[in-house]
Amino acid sequence: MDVLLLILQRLELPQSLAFASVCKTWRAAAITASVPRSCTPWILSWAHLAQGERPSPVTCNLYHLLDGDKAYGVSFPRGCFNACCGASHGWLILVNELSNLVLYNPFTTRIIPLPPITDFSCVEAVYRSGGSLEGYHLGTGGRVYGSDELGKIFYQKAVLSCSPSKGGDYIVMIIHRDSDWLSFVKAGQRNWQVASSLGVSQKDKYADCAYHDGRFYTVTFDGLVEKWDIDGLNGPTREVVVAARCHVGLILTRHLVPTPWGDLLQVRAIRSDGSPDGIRFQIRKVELNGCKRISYKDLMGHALLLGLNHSACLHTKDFPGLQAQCVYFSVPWMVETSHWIRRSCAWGGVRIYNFECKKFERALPIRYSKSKRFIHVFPTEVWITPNL
Amino acid sequence: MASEKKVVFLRSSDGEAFEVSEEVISAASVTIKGMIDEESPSRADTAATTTLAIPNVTAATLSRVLHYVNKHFDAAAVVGRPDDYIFCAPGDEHPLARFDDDFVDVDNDTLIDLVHAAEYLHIKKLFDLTCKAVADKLKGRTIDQIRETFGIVNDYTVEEEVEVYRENSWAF
Repeated sequence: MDVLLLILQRLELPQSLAFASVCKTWRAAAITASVPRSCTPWILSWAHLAQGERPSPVTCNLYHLLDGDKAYGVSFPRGCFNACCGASHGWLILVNELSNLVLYNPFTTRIIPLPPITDFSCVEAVYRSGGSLEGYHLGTGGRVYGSDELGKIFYQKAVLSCSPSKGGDYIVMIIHRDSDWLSFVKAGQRNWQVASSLGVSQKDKYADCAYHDGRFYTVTFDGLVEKWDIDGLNGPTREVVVAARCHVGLILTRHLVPTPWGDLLQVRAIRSDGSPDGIRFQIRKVELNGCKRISYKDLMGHALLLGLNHSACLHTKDFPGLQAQCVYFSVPWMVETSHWIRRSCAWGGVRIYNFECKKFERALPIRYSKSKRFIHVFPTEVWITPNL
Repeated sequence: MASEKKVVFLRSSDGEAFEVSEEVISAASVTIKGMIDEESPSRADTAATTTLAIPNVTAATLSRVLHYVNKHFDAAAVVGRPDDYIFCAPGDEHPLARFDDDFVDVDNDTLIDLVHAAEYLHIKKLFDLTCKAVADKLKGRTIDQIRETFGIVNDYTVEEEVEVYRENSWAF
C-alpha cells in the first residue's frame, strides 16, 4: 500500500485517475492519497506560459474547484500545445506549433490531427529558399505570419459534437477568421468545409457554437441564433431560430447552453454600471419564435460552465464543489472582441458569477500577475467538463 | 585503526552472499546501517567479517541493488557529490543519468522487486528512481492496458465496475 501511494505521488493527474480505476486496492490507495474523482469539472491553466519562455514539451496545470491550491501537471507531446481553443467531452482542441488544430485527450494522451490550416483557401504556406516552412500568408495581405503565430489569431473557438473516444462520429466546428467564419470537419475527413462566412461588410460576428439535439447552433454578438444542417445534399444549410436585434448597451459575450432537460439557453453578459463588478449575466431560453427571458431560479440546482469550452449545464448534486445558480466563467475566445474588456479589471482568469448577489469574482487566485493584459484579454484557462 | 576498508557480507533470501564495502552500503541503506550499528559492539574485538541476512530480497534483486549502490554511493567512483544529480536541470546530462535509465529498463516484475527491495533496505534514491520508472510505465495507458502490464486482476463487482466506468466514461 505504501509503495502504491508513493507511486501515485509521482503520477500526473490523468494517470492518477486511470490508476484509481484499476482494482480495489489501487482505488483505495487513490482515495487515501485524495485523488479527486474524474467526474468533476477541471480547470486547465496555462497562465504560467503567458509570459516568458515556453518550455517544450509544455506542461499545463489542472486545478480542481474544491482545492484551488493543488495543481496537477499535464504534459503535452512536443509541439502539440501552442494554444488551446476549445474543450469538449474531456477532449481539448489545441493549436499546435504549425498552427494546425489537433484533438488531444489529456486523460488517455490520445491525439487526433485535424486537416491543416493550409486547407483553408485564404491561408497559403510560405517556404524559405531551402524548402523549410517559414510561415503563412493570410488572405491577400503581404505579411508573413510565423508558423506558430497565425494559429493564435486565426481560430476563435472550437467545439466537438461528441466524444471521439469510443469511435464516435464526431464533428469539429470552429469559429475563426475574425469570428466571421464557421467551418467544420467530420471524423476521418481530410478537408475543412466552410459553412458560413459573414463577410466584411457586416459588423456582426459569431460569439458561440453549441451542439444540441443532434444539430449545431450558433449565436452572434447581435443575438442571431441559427440552427445548422451540415448534411444537406447541396452543402450546409441554416435556419434562423432567433433574428438579430439591436441591443442598447454593450454585449460582452453570448453563449449557447444545452440543458439536461432538453432546452437550449442563451446566456449573455452585458456591461452594467449598476452591478458590483460592472458586468451582469442574463439567461434566455431559445425558442422557435424567439428568446424568452427566464430567471436564474429556473436553473433548478444547476450551474453553468462557460468559456472556451463547449458550454455545460451541470447539476450540483452530481458535482461536489459546484454552487447552484452560478456561472463558472473563463475567457471565452482566442481573440479579443471588445475594447472595453481590455480596460476592465473584472474580466479574465477564472470567475464565478452569482446571480443572486450579481458579483463576478475570481474562483482561483491569480498566480501569475506580471502580465496583466495577457491575463485579462486572452484565455489562459479552459474548463474540462463532462458534457451531459 | 583499520587501514584497509571494512567489508560486510549480505546474504540474500535464497542464501547467496554478496560482499560490499561497509562504508558504501552504510551511506546507501538506512536499514543496513542500522544493522551494522547494532552489530558493532560485538565486532569491535573480532577480526571476523559480518554477514547480514537480508531475508526479503532475492539474490537476483540484491545483486542489482548492489550494482546501483556501488555506482551511486562509492565516493571514489562518483563524480562530484553523489546527490548532485537530483538537482540537475532536465537536459543536463549527469554521468549517472544514463546508468539510471538503463538500470530501470527492465521487465515489470524485476522493477517491482527493486521497488520493494529499495523500500525494505531504505535506499531513498533508488526508491525514487524505481517508483518514477513505474509511474512512467503507467503513462498514456488505458485502465485495461495497466491491468495487463502489471498482471492485475480486475476485482470489481459488476455494480462497482459500472460505477467506476460511469465516473470515467467521459474522460476515457
